[in-house]
Amino acid sequence: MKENRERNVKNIFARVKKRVRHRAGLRRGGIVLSLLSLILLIYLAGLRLGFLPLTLTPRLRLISLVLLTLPLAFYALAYLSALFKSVDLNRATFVLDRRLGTRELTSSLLSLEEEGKDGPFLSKIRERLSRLEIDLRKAFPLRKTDLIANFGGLLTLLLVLALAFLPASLPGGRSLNSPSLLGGRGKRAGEGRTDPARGEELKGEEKSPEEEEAGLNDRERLLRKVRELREGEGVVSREGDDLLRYLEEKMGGEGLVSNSSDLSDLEEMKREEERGLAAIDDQKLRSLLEELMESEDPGRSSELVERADRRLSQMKKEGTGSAAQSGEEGDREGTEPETGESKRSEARTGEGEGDRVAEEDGESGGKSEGQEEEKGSGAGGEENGDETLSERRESSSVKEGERREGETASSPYEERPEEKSPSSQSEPRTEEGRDQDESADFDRSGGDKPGEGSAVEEKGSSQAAPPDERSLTDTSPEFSLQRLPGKTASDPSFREYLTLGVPIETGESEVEDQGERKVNVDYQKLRSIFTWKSLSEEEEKIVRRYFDGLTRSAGQ
Amino acid sequence: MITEEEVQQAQSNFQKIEESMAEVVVGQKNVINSALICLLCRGNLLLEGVPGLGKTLIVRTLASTLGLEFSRIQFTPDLMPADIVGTNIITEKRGERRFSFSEGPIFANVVLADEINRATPKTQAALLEAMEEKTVTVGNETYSLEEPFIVLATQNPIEMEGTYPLPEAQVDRFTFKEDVRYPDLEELVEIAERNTENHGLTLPESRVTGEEILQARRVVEEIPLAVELRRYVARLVMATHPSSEFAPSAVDSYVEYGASPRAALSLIRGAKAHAFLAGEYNVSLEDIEATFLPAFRHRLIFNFRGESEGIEVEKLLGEVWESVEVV
Repeated sequence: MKENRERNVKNIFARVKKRVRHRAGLRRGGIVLSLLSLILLIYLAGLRLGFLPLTLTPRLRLISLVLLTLPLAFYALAYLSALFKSVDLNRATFVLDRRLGTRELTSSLLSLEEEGKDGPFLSKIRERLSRLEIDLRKAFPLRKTDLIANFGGLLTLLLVLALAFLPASLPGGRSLNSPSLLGGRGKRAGEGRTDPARGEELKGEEKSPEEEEAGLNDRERLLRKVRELREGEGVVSREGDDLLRYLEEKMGGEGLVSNSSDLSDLEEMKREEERGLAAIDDQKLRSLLEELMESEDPGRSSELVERADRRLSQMKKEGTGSAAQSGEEGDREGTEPETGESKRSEARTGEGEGDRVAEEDGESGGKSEGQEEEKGSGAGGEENGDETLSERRESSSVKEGERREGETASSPYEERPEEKSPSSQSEPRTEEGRDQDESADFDRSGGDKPGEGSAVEEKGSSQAAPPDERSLTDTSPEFSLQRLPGKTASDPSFREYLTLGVPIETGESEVEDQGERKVNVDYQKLRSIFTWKSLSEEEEKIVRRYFDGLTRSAGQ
Repeated sequence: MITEEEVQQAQSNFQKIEESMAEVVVGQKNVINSALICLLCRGNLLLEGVPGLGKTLIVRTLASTLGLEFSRIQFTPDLMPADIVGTNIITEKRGERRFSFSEGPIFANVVLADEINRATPKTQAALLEAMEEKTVTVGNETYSLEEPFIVLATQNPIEMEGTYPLPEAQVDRFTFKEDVRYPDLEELVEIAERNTENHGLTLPESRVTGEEILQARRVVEEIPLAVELRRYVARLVMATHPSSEFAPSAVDSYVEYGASPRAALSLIRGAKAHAFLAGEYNVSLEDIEATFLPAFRHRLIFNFRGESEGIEVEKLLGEVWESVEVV
């Protein structure tokens, strides 16, 4: 015991230094940790609550992980810097003496040692010190504020961790766990997909409303509605299972595939997408879903989800089982042109019903919306004849109006409500109309006039574009759709644009049929970047012209 | 090199001195303590108190206990410097006349300058050299005073007519200033008993030699003082100066001039001696605190406001002590 105390007296100054540095380290580290954690918490909370734009954090979890390490790293740095700082030992020993009531023995001992004096006083002071209990923790207690800063900072960090990793929906129906936010662009498409069996499992699951409120995002709710509709009333066709699977996969791994190594996955997804989308009888719903899948803009996605949701509810309310049934029949008979033709005529008989729907939907879509509703509910059979339509075009034996309708239905470009100009909102939208809105470069002589669904047929045929001004969406009788792989323009400035952030595959497409769609997907990707980069209209036009060039070459 | 035995012997001797003085002087422990401290740290003591409180008795007892040569100088307005320090006189030896130096009362080990404020400043100034340098210069000759040397001066604070307040330079040379307080009832009874029975008061015999006192002085000088305490003393001195960053507002308001650096020396030396007398081997904050008032109370010069408002120096110094942070 006595020996221990004597040993303690011998190395008391080293112990004091260590203790003081430890305390300073905790203080510095606590301040750094709590401050950085707080900043991080505010940042992530801002993202969660939608105060900060989500586009700034395309890889939220990755960034969170990196940011989480920052406070810890700075904490370690601050602590280490305190460990190496010089200590005013005279002051520290004096503080120790005052706190422990040792009558300035340690500070006097230090003075003697510093002066190199050796005498009766040195030995007497050491002797007296060795008789005393020197508790450095009592002399240099950890300050409450330091402890609060340390533990508070740690708790804040844990909160940040929870914020970053707990699933929660973000504005626009996005989830923090969605691959696009977690660096999904670099993720292989296959990784994000769920097990096909999961669709069946989900089908059997009946979540309570509380669960719905707690965790489901908009897209999940939409998926459920589609499934319910299919099961209950048969709105979607027999191939709806494909659609469901596809939607589930999309929701499980909605990240955009941009890496060239993922091209095969992309193509596979596209094939599935086309198959799934083709199974939807409802034109309106189909176009919404299609655009939803391609949309990268959170606000836009949210809007699309809402609209699709509304449309589904409407369909459910109307009980359009008969139309769906006929759609299924049309699907089965779609290989024969006559059957498709007969379905189209059936669809025309459903125009009245379409008008009624258009009136109901007037609050958001206006007249053009109504036109779409009309097509969607009444012309389900038309779309089942799409596959044979191209053959019929080649034979040029079908009437112009019928071709016009078929072309519209089979075109990869569907109506995009957000792109409607004020003028186009009052008119029934066709592909030509949409192009007119987007750019003057896309102006054509053809276009739809306000009118009923049957009028679309007539107008479309009478205003066909000349062959030399054709675009991908041209529906003139002479137009023959050929799906060719996209290629870059000769102008090097285009290439510069396209390599700005989004890789555009410029080689020949392995899947010939998907070249056109791929161009569209690429263009949609770029469009999402426009919002980041705030490109001028002129620059947007250049890019659009480039894509137009691609599709033009594909169309010819 | 001082040995541990020497330290213990010195401490033991001075404990004996304290005990001997306490046998004669009733109460006044702080005065006795201050006198011993001043003796140990080569200083001088100024005692202030009304007549009849035993000031002279304390000094005579001290001198007797120490076994040192004692001289008393009663200061009057007509006292001349030569009456203190001595003078050259013509002497005749074997028919030959020559000047020879006749030492004044200053040439003693313990000098009592009674009612020092009654002499003229010129006479008062005669003590300056002796108090500070322990030398006396007469004509062209400088004479050293024998160690140990200590001046214990007294002054009466109430009879101020016909007095000459000590100049600041003079006052500053006193290491400590002690107020001799009036004895309480028990002490008064004790004083009466001791002085009226058994043939009156008898001074104690010598307990230590001059050499032992000097040895004790060397021991006191070796007592360690923490660096942080030294800094603290410096802060205390600074705090007595108006406009200093350490000064409390009262100092700014009432003090014209603060303590001199000599105050810091007095405080540190006094604290060391205090620790020695307490049987300690190092200076603590308590030692500083115990010697703070005696070392500082005569070194502050009040401004007109302080004088006119009758500010008590002890209260002011109390504020200074409270305002200066230890660490």
